[in-house]
Amino acid sequence: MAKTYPVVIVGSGASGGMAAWALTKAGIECVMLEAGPMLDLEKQSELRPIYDLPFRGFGTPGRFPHVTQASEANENAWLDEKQNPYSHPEKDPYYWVRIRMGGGKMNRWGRASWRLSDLEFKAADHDGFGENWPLSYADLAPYYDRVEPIFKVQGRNEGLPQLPDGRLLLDGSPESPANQRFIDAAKKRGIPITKPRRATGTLASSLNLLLPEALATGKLTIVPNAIAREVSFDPKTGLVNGVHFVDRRSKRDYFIGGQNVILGAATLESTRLLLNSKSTRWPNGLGNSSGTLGRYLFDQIYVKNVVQALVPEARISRAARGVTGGAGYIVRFRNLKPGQQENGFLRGYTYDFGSGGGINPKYIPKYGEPLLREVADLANASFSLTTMGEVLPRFENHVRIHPTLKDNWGIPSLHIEHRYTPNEHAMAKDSMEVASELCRAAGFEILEAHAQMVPPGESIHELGTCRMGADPKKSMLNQWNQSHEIKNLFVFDGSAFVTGGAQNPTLTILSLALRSSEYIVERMKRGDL
Amino acid sequence: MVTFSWLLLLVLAADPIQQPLPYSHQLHISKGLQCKTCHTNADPGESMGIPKVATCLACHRAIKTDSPHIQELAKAAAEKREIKWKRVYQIPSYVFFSHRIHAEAGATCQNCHGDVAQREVLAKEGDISMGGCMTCHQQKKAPNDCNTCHEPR
Repeated sequence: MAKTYPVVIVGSGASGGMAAWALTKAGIECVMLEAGPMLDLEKQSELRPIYDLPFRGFGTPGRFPHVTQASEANENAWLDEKQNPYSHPEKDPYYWVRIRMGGGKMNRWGRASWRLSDLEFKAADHDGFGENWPLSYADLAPYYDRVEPIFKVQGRNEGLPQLPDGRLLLDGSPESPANQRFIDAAKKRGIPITKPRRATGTLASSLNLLLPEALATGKLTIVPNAIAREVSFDPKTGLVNGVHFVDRRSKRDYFIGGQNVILGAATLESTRLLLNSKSTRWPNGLGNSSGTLGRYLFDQIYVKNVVQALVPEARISRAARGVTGGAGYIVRFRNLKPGQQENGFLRGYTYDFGSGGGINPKYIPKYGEPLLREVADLANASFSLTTMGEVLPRFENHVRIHPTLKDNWGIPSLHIEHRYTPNEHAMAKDSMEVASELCRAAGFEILEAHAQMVPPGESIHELGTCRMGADPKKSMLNQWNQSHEIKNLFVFDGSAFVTGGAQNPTLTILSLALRSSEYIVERMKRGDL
Repeated sequence: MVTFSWLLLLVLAADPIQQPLPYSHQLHISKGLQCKTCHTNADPGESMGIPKVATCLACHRAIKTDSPHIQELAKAAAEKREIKWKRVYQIPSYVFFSHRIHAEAGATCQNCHGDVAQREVLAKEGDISMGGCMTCHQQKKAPNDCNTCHEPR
């Protein structure tokens, strides 16, 4: 273990995978620590009938109290909470969803790939709340341009300033009559709609699109089952010099040396690693003179099925083929003017919507035979929307190291405190009212409308806690995802986000990782790193 | 330290599948049969059927009755037993797929199953992975939303 690598990368998901891809292609040797095994779910998962599962699909009790996405059929893909506990205040649950395997959460992502705009990058200039990013949309646009084709993102460009156009495979699919009525109703009210933007392919992951190419350069070594526990700091040089990790299976401790360290372990894991990397020089966590490490945690609000409606003419499913079907995305339309605060909240929200498919029996107030008949009649009549909204980054929402709780490998766990505030509640309520109005205008029958957000974390869009910023007193990283205080330490994942908008963050994480990797290449060539 | 070595497998085409009785699609199609002659599309149209022994014997009661394989078919029919043909293509249970919708939209059998009329023995040739489906949907301007093929959640 004497070898010191030019770059140690922690994590193999979107940010770690992109770092390895860009750096190895530029000829830089990297070693990557992945906390889980190198599996390919596409090839190595086994389909089994529900009756073969010990709990008949309901899941092994206690493994995933906070992972609503897990079922017994796929539970080995998620991180076991019994082995990896964390805490939150009893009244304020936080749903922390983790995956540890090659490719990380990109094995399970929803593939929605939206760009951020200067409404997010320069949010503080726009409405006076919080901080700006230390970069603008123009700085990142060339990197979005390069990432979208790798992931074959399909969608439709609309020329909207709040949702910049991308380099997309064109989605030229026609709208179903039901969706067209809804789109027309929105258009009349000046609410913009586009097609979904999603990465295509059987798997659209770091695992199949980034890591194989990085490995093909011969410059990447992947160490699976390596759980990073501390980044090592050399007080003599003022630089980091490697990473301590624990082997997942043997629980033995190892050290790997690196001239540069890039963390891409996922938002809260990278922050946990930095908080756990304490020393006399860094009593509050590595590179944390600002006191912002762990602070400004945010995600995106989700109101699932904010409106569940039915399309009346699709009532009898056999007659309904082609009447419903297809999906769409309502682009942010609130607070687009500087300083605006419509309906008592800052920032804005978006919706995913779709028609077709059946309606959950919970929306049908019938029992027995009449219920079954109704379910059959409505088999293709559903129209529903889900709200996704921006969450304001606040100092109070934070993570810290739990004083006693540790994981299965003896690494101190996180305590997470994240509460939604009146801004998020007002946004959710507004989204319910607007969605209801649009559904009524489209002639749909509303079965239920509600404004109940899922608990923080459940969107799996946790962001912040190691944010970028122009001012080292208010932030951890500069615009290159580089520590303000330790120049060979980088954090590439979602923890670097200053604001997140309502757009799914992966495309931005990938683009930032590409941009900052190329900065590292340039600096290494100059001998600065 | 365990160093992970990557094995890139290039899958060109799956091996031909050994069926319980020899059957040539090429021969049958050259005699003028169509796919739907034997593979019926029962309501509501999701699946194409795998032919029953009775379907085979509709012709083979009279044709090539001296072949031991045809005699095997006749014996199965007499014993009210079906031949366990092996499926070449199978879609996971969490994917909706309707042959009828695709046929009505103008897709041909060959689009997904390859040039069956030229094959003695079938192997999986068409790409029915999610990537294969999405590529075709994108090119044909068919919807590519999750809920086109999967249950909305």
